[in-house]
Amino acid sequence: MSQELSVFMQQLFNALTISGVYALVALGITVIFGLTGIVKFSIGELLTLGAFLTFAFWEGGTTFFLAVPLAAIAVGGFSLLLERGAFRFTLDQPINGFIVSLGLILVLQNLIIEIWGVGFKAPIRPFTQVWEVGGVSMPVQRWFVVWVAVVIIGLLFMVLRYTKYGRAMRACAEDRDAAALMGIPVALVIAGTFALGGALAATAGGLLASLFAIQPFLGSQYLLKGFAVALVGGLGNVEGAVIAAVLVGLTETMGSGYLATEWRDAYTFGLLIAILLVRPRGLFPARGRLQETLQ
Amino acid sequence: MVAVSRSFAGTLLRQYPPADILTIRLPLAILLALPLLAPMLLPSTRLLSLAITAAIFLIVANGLHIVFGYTGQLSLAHTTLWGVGAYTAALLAIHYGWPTAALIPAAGISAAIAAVAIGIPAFRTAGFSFAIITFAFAEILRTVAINWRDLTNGGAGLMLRTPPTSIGPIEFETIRHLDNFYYLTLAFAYLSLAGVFLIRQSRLGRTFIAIRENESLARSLGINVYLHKLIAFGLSGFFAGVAGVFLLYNNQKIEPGPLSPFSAFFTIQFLLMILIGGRFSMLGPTIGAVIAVFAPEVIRPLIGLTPLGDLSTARIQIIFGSTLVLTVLFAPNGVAGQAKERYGALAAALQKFRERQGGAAPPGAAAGG
Repeated sequence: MSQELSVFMQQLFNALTISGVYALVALGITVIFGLTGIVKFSIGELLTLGAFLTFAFWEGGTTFFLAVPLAAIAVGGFSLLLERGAFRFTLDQPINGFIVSLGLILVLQNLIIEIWGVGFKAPIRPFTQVWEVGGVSMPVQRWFVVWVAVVIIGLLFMVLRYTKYGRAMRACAEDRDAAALMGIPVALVIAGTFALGGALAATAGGLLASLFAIQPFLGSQYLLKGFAVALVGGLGNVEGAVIAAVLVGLTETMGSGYLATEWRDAYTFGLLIAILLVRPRGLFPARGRLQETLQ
Repeated sequence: MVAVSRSFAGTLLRQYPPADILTIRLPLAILLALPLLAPMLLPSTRLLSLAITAAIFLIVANGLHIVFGYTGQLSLAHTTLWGVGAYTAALLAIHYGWPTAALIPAAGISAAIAAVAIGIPAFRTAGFSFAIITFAFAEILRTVAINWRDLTNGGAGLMLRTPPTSIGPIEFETIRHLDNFYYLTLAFAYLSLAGVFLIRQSRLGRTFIAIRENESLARSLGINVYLHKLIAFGLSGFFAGVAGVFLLYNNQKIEPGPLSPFSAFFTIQFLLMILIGGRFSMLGPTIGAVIAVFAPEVIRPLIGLTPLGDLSTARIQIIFGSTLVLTVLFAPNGVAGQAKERYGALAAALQKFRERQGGAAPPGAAAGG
């Protein structure tokens, strides 16, 4: 393989890994928005919490492969509590829900600092092998992250499409009142979606703990990227979020690979601004009453 | 001529009935004049420099109030505009030696231009998309401040050692003449408050509020919504830019780090100020800014008495964040909103009491209603 091609393939592989993580965060954001109209910024802190819990479980002797699902379940439960305790009171005023989530960022981030300190935690490495294919080095760990993301996204699609809960969720997203009239337990579905969104973010966090050193401010960076992804894909649109995750991952990796690395964030947000200017509701706008009134 | 002046007096009386002057406006005026005595009342330089911070925050918050409170547009780039003002002032002062009197309008105008430049594309969207686009611009500007090293000196930022230009014999050097610098900042804090008040009273302010209340209705009345949003954003940027000059003088530097105007922390902090103060009240941002700066000072010794012990910054942040959540859930109109409600309820009760007594209603109540 020629030099240029292998560099390109390397970038492509890196883009794939990061896209997987972005997609999980973006899906968490997009399902919650699609259903409630609440832009839940605190999901970034749930990601950090997921990363630190994974680390704590792992340090306590649990294997990494069990630590991530445990963290996801714990954070999902916590997210459910937050919905019951705070967000459900803001359903008729989504902007208040947004502001509540801003307050929660401060609370959660500093709680994490109080518990774990501000320092970095070294990455967990369940896999140490690195595959070399034609000059492209691919750590097995990264492949693992990509596959976990793909499987989770696939499962989510199946759930949304074929299960009773998924159908109820889509109905609520389309028109909450009509869904309630059809006998769908709307409050339950919404609470479940908050748990789902939290668990998705925590999974992303757990996976990140195996890629990079983690620190308490991890969340904001991934929140912003996840958010950019969700917006580019069309807030509330699940398929759009996945496509946009790949797009953003590519822009970022290729931009910092072939242009200047330090402008990495500017590429993503430049893309976001450009796309929203042409299509204010994202590439694939979601349908539903909420979306039409909010955007 | 007489008729005109009589009707003017009538309007004035109707707008400010005597009863109102005694119960609301006088106490309010005293409260507003209190900061003038701060250098005499506050026991330490530390508290006086906190008062300076509060005055600077107040200017920034008043700016945000125009675009968020009046016009209802959630800008997440506001504190970044504050930073733009500070950088403009730093560059002009360091490289060209501009005096303070020239820096203030220059910083205000440059931040206003930045705001309009962001607004032109951003206002093509509304609601959350607008909030996020402004956020994206803020992130890009932060990246620029970090990476355009020739202009901004990168992460280290720009240092400004010179104090504000003296006015005649009055010096503003912050170590020996902190009270002078306080008064200078306070003067602009009052100006910003007057600005917010005048805008609220004007046709422009009413248009902003019409847009906040119902955008399509405003459009149907022939209001150019896009243009007015841009004006509101530009004005808010001007306030932020002016505050940037004072931030620069106060810190003697401007940098793009995690506790600078470019941080998400401040974006949240200022939203919090407006919400705690009351987003539908003119004095909301002022109350919010004062609370945000001084509340930790009050809370810290109080908590020191409890088993929680000494308060770390992290714990203060936790209290702060919880306050924001609780405010939104239980008092969405903030302190000012609560005060107004309570006062309204009290006035109504008094009125009822008087009626039951069978006495004549006071003239103020009859005229004002």
